Amino acid sequence: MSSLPNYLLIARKRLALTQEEVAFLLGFSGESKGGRVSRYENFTHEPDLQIALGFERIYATPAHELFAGIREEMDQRILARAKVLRHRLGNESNPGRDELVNDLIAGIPEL
Amino acid sequence: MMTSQHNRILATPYSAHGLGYAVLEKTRGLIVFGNRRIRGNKNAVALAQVESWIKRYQPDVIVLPKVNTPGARHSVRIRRLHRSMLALAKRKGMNAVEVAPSTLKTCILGRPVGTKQQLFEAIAQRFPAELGSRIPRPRKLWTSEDSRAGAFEAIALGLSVLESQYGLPGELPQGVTRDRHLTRAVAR
Repeated sequence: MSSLPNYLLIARKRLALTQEEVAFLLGFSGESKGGRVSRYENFTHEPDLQIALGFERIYATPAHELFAGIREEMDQRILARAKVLRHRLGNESNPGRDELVNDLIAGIPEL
Repeated sequence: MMTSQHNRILATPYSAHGLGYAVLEKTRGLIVFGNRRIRGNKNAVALAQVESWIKRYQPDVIVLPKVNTPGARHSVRIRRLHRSMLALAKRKGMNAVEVAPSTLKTCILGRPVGTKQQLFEAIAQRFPAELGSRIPRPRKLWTSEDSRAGAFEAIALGLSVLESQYGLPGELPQGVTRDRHLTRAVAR
């Protein structure tokens, strides 16, 4: 079972915050600012980096835990690309780079 | 009753006004909960709603209240909805688990009898941050059920199945033992 794209809703409910309040803290404006938070919570939109870091700060939870599904998806993509990169590099040797690529293929370390 | 380990659970109890829902995970515990009020063609809308939750949260099991227990007084509409839910789960290739009210109470309260209010308070004790301020008001004889009751019932349903398998999450009330089989969860 893969993780859900994000766990923003339960993080907000743990702090008893409303979507409007979170939207205010993130600096959203307009009548539907709470709706924007709702769209992130329901996985219909993905937040940009600034907003993701804002969620991390507000909920005091690391972004890789809040956005666990996105992180897992990214890990898979990097793993696939690392294999391609190793194949492309062939016999070119660079100890630091080779070690990194091999580490990525062996398993992306937990943060 | 259960043959496989469930990692993500969607629980949806029925009510006259709509559906409660809760999503729980083995590792993270309570993920999502709420109540959806349904109007119009209730069964059709409820089924569409559950289908959208399945698509969004991709649970591997759906937990439903058992409606055909002896003495149950569910309406014809609810019984029809229950059959449709079971068919939906089958169509989606998911496990469906039915939990009887007495089993639910045994698991949450440690005894097979108790009021819904006691159940809600026991659930709120386990998740004080998320639910402490949301306990439904005690029902009077002349009032209808609080709209938050559906969400609490959903959490109770999901928790009973999750706990029967993993002993997770939250703290058990005093006097309740953990057991891998719901039917054998008994008070000390």
